[in-house]
Amino acid sequence: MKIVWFFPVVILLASCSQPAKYVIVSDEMKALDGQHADQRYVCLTMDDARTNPGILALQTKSNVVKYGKKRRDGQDPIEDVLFHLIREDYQKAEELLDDYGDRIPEYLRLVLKADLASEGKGDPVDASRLVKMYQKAIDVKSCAINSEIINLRIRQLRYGR
Amino acid sequence: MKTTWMVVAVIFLTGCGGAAGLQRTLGDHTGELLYLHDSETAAEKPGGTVKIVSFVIDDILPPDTTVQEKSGYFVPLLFFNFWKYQYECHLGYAQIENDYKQFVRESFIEELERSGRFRRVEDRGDLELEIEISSLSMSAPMLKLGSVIFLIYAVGFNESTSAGPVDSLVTAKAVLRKGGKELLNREFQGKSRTSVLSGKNVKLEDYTTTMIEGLSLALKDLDENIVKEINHTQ
Repeated sequence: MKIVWFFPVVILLASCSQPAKYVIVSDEMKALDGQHADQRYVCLTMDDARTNPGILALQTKSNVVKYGKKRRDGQDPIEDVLFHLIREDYQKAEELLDDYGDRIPEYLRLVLKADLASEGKGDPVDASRLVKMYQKAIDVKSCAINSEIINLRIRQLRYGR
Repeated sequence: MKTTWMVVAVIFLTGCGGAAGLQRTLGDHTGELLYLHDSETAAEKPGGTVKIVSFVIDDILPPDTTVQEKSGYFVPLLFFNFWKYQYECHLGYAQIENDYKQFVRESFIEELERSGRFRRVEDRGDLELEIEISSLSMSAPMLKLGSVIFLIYAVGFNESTSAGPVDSLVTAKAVLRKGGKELLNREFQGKSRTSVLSGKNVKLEDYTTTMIEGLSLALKDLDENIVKEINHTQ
């Protein structure tokens, strides 16, 4: 009987520690460290990061689930869009991004548009068009960490990750 | 008898994965030359105007991607067999989805307009710039190691591949003139080094992407170096 319980527990533990696909960081960070090859990052300005501290610490899928139980939509536009992005509900994230319009700062809107276009389930967007979208994003916010994040994303696009 | 056939099969399979097989694998994949312009933007252009008088790009890439066997051996000891092969890969433009000459030209212009301290014009400019992209040297090594052990009732097989790093070096000559007087006339280099693909489950087709990535990053380095130098020359 013990062995029957053992395997589901192991599987559950393994899934809990699975890294979240999207991780939100602040531009106070100097560089990304210990990133997973398939992980994507979104960089917030210091001010936006301070307004939404809860969303920054979500490194694993289980943390995202726990966080989701305590929150509700409509509190803060940035937090709303990012939450649905990190729980990989891209359609909802895209809807909210369109609905909120200018309430999402331009630097973030541009990068999220590119991220969501690359995650789209419809016709695949070609890499050069995505790079142009990311180029616009880096032109608006060109700090070192954002540059590292977008270069990493371009690398993932190259290798089809 | 069975063992003999297995040895023959292993030798045959190893042969299939040789230079010709690798060349087919790399030649079946394509990618785009692209990179992110993330140099510091020069918001103001106090340096006057510049005209690109000529932009010559020599045929720096061969048409097809090729793989050349540099060295290798197969040691068949009946019960224990091992092999080691070293290859050198050469990227061909057939693997590049976009027009590489157009990309080289346009990416330089974009960098010039982005981080250059002067405004680019089509007609007469205060400065005149001539560029010639003269060569590309790329080192793209690949190593295959493997062994087969025949026991009485079992066979052990192990093969690993390591590809990279890809070292790319693009050279170009730039001449900058102001009123007919040469301000700059020198050779520039753009370098890049990619990471290594290794392990038992390495996807060799990714190596085509790695070579294209290496070339993209070397061109980025070259463009930035030329524009930085022109900025300092003024």
